Amino acid sequence: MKDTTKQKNFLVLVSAILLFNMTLLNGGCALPKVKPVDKTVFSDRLQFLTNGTTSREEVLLKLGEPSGRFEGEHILTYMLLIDGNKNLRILPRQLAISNIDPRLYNLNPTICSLVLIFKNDNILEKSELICSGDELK
Amino acid sequence: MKKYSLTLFLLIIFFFYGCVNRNIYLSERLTESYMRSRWLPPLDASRTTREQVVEKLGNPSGTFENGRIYTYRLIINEWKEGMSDSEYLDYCCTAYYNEKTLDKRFEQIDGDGALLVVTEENMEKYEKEIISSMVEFHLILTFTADGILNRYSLIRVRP
Repeated sequence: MKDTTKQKNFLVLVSAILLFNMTLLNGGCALPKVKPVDKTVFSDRLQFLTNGTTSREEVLLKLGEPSGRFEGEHILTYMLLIDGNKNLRILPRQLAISNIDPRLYNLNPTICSLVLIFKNDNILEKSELICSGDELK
Repeated sequence: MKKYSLTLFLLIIFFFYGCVNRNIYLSERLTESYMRSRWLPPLDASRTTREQVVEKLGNPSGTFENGRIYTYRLIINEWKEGMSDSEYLDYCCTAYYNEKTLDKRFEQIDGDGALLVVTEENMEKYEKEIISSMVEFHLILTFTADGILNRYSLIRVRP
């Protein structure tokens, strides 16, 4: 009888330790908020993007080399950082894998992907700005 | 306690005295006009040809619309002999330097630096140099069907 009580107590203790550890581990795994954001919120650098009007040429001349391209040139993506003053900075490709890049300093952690889809006549068909980070409201 | 806090505060001020935000400091020096005059070949819309551009800058980082648009990712490589791991750790991870160090690095860029076009082929080879580089611009060129420069833009990516 005494042994059974001991075993029960031991099990409760082990369960409590496991629960505590799992809570501790999961605490660091909170996902950042991810959501589409209105392009007009940020500076005037993206204001020129108009679906059905803006050409790929215009996009490249204003935003530079894209950080990614898909389906040939049908979809272009730009990785962007938004600083505390809502200024927008375009990031080149290798930053996606390097969190020690000096350009990440002094910036809040809001990182956005600008996704641009073009029609066959090289005109912008659809555009979306998707941001992630705890600073998002 | 107050005395201790004041001393600590003064020590912190003393420690950071002379440090500057390198992004602000460099963006005042590494301007678009500096880049054009010091590093880029003369570009004249309606005169410069695609061949002339490739002759001066080499192959582009990317092409679009069947070669009508060329994009160049440009950095100034300060380390002609390549960058060691310790240099990389020194340069890449500090956002604040004192003015003297930045002056020295700027002199190095201006004197010994070389323009590097980042391409798919060399990106891995120069990874440390690309990440640590203080300056990066994108040059976008559009050409007519005859291969004559039509429009271009120089975009600052960093500092």
